[in-house]
Amino acid sequence: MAGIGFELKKLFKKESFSEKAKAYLYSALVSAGPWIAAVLTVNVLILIMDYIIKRPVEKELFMGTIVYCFIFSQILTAPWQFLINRYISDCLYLLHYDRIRPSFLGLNKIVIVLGLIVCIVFYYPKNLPVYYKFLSTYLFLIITMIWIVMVYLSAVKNYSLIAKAYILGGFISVILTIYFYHKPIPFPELQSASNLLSAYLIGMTITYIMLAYTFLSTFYFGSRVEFDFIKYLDNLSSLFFIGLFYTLGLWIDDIIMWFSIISVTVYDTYLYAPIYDNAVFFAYLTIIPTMVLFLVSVETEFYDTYKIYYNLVNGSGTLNEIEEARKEMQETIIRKTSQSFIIQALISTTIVFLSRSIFNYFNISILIRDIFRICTFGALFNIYVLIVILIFLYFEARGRALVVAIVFFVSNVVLTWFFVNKGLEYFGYGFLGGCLLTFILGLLMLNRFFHNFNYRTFNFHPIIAKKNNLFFEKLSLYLNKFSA
Amino acid sequence: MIICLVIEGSYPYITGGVASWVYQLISGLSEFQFKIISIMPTCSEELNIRYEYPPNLLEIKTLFLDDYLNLPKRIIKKKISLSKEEKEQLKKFIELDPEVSWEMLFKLFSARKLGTAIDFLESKIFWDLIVDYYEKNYGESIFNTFFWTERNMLLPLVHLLQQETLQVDIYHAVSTGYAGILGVALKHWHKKPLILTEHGIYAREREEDILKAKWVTGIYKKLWIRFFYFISTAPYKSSDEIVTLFQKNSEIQINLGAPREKTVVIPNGVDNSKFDIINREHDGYNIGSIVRVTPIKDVMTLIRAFKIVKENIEGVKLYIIGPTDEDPDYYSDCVNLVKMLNLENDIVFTGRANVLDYFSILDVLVLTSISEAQPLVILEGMSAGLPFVATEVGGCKELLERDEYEGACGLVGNLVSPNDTALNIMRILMNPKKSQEMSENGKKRARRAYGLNNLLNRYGDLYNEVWERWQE
Repeated sequence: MAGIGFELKKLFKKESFSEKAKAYLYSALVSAGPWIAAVLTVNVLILIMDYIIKRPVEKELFMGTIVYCFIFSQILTAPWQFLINRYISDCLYLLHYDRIRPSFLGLNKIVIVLGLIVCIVFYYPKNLPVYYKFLSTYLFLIITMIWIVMVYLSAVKNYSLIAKAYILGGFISVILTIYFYHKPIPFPELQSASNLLSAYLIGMTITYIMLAYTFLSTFYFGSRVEFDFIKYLDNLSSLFFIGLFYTLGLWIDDIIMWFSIISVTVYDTYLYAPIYDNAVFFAYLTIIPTMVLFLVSVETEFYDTYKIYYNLVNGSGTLNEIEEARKEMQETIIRKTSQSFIIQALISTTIVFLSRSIFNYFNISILIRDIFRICTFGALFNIYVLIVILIFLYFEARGRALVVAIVFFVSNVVLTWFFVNKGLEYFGYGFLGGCLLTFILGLLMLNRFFHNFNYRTFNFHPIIAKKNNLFFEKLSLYLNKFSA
Repeated sequence: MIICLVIEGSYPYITGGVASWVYQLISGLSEFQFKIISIMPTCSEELNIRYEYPPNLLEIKTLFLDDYLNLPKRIIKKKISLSKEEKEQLKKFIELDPEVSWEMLFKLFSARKLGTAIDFLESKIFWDLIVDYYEKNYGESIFNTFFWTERNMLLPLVHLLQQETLQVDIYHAVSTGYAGILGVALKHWHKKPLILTEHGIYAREREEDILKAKWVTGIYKKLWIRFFYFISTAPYKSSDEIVTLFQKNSEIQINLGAPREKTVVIPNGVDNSKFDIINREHDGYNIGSIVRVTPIKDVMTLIRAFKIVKENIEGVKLYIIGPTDEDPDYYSDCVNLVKMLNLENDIVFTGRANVLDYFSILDVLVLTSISEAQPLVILEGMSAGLPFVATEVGGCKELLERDEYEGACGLVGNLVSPNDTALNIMRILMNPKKSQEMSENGKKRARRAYGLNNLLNRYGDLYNEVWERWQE
């Protein structure tokens, strides 16, 4: 063990209190990154699919499977993401490197068990071939595990390897799709859909293996406290609910649309709205620039000012110096965020203007294009809702972050519900409205929050620390007995 | 009539001069009934009762300076709105301005208008005041340290002023400091008279502690010292009677703001009948020191002084009589010093013991304290006819020197001076005639001025007098 600590210390040079903040951002990015990669892959497959699959109903079946696997695996794992991220960064800060691997195993056990239950309950009564049910369940679990390993990889920060894993996995999926087109696996029923699903599945599996290997080979040691992280639910349960409500909010408009006039039922299994879902998928692709821009500005300027401020607060700053640092930090946030917002708004607007020719070029339905236009603006505000949540989390204002997440969820439900019966031309307005409303509220809250900021900083940590409800600590001790 | 004694770090948990005095007073004044508010520093240590409870002691209420640890946590903070005058007084309070209106503060704190002590110290109002104060006076120093020093300083005080208390006829604070300020608050809350008895001058003692302390540094030493003067001078203004043990302390109190006409001197008292002791014949010389083995008693100097005596006089022995378990580190330092000086066979640590068992074999008593008020052991030694060697602290000189009635009954030297102490011991041991004179003087003086009855009668009268005056 002697060498490990040394090696890891090099890897996590200068982990500190403020490192936690950065971790939140990575967690958001890593959950968006694979999403983007997957959407791209699926869209390439869909393009190929038009040539391969002759029966449209099989195409819809495949699409339904992918949509369900993505959405529900994300809802299943998202609540854990902020929480486990905080756990990991605390472990790194406290040099408890040996707790990271076991928590990975423990969390996987939890989500796999939950995922299996969901799949069995969902697929058991459905009238589909057994092998198709099996493949779908497999895909669902693989994607679930990918979300989890991505959170852990944010600790390793090997971004080029993550990128390679996705590119290779996607590439293999595409190659196999073409290969299976020429030499299909002889499934008795639903041959095209099953072959396509198999190709995609193998690609994703390879991606997962690469990711998991990267993580497990870095953290090849560990103690046996697999469920230690559960105790965080005692005092940081808000992180769980922030993840839950934000992700539910992200998908709830889709789910509501599944019950609208554009909904489609495939094999009595998947109820979904391909027009709407596709539009939203495309819309999310338009916000990639913000994610990159925000990462870069956080990495550089904002993060530095943040560090300076908290070093002065915790160290030897006079109030004057602290106040200067606060202004600098807040100006940086406001400047960087508004800059990236303006750029993103320009990009989104441009894409909307160009959407006619783009969609025509790819021969995509006009219906999708109309919804896409609305949802692109929705996505624009949506990403800033996430950024507001992240900013609150940087400053440990979890209560406010939770309020934003809940408002986002509720407003998206209410407005989508309101617009769903207004007719086709209003599709997407619910999502846009929910995002815009939450965005405005978030900005107002942020503005209030920055008011009296020093007072908050110095009064955030209570004079006396108190332990109150320790249910989850007990649960974690109990579950740790079952660690392998 | 019920009297409530408000005491700090003493009876019934901590032994010492004040605690013994409290015990004497209550058990001696059986015609009065007593209640006690005993303020202790922390609720996290177990307390042991060190004294008997006299039958006329009705109730002991123990308050802890740090039991804000058990305050309920509030999620949603109440908005606090204050009048301009209230804000002005809070500002003075935070700036430790002695002109502050304590009456208004007591009202503010006790009505929880500001919430609990913790709510207050986490409030925006407190923040604004503290930032203002910081910018005016401390703008160049580290804010984090300043902020937490202020909070830590004010938290126990504000919390103390929000405690449930006892309703009685007369409040009697047995020191200034926390006990004194609570006494003042009790007077205001319950509209009852307040008597203050100060053994040592509290603010001075804290000042000495802080100057030596390692837990506080730089400008914060000054701040803490100011804080203790701030809370200690309030009772001087509000008490109906201000008692101390000897004239010198009385002058200090007057200097710190006590009105001269309210000051009274009531010395400690001993039960002289217990000390009619006949000296037993013994070989050589026995020196005794009745002390708790703690740094304030400076036992190290005593041991070094004894070394000098030993080098000059054959057959001397030193008995250190008193508990050794109060400061185990210091005790082991003392034991090491004894070993280093090769005095293992000549110095005896008796531990907790009945002093009467030793009085009959002692030739001289020594006290090398660096801080004292009016030590009971000197009175007891005088009463038993033992010449005394003491350091010039508190009221020791007043007790031992020649006055208009008797000659000297002991010698007083510089503190922390083994040489002075050794010389004084040898002067007494080598001069039997002088020693005999001192012995006689001591016996006479103890019976004339420092009898227990004197103490009890004067306090009995004081209670009645204050009560009658209050009724009018």
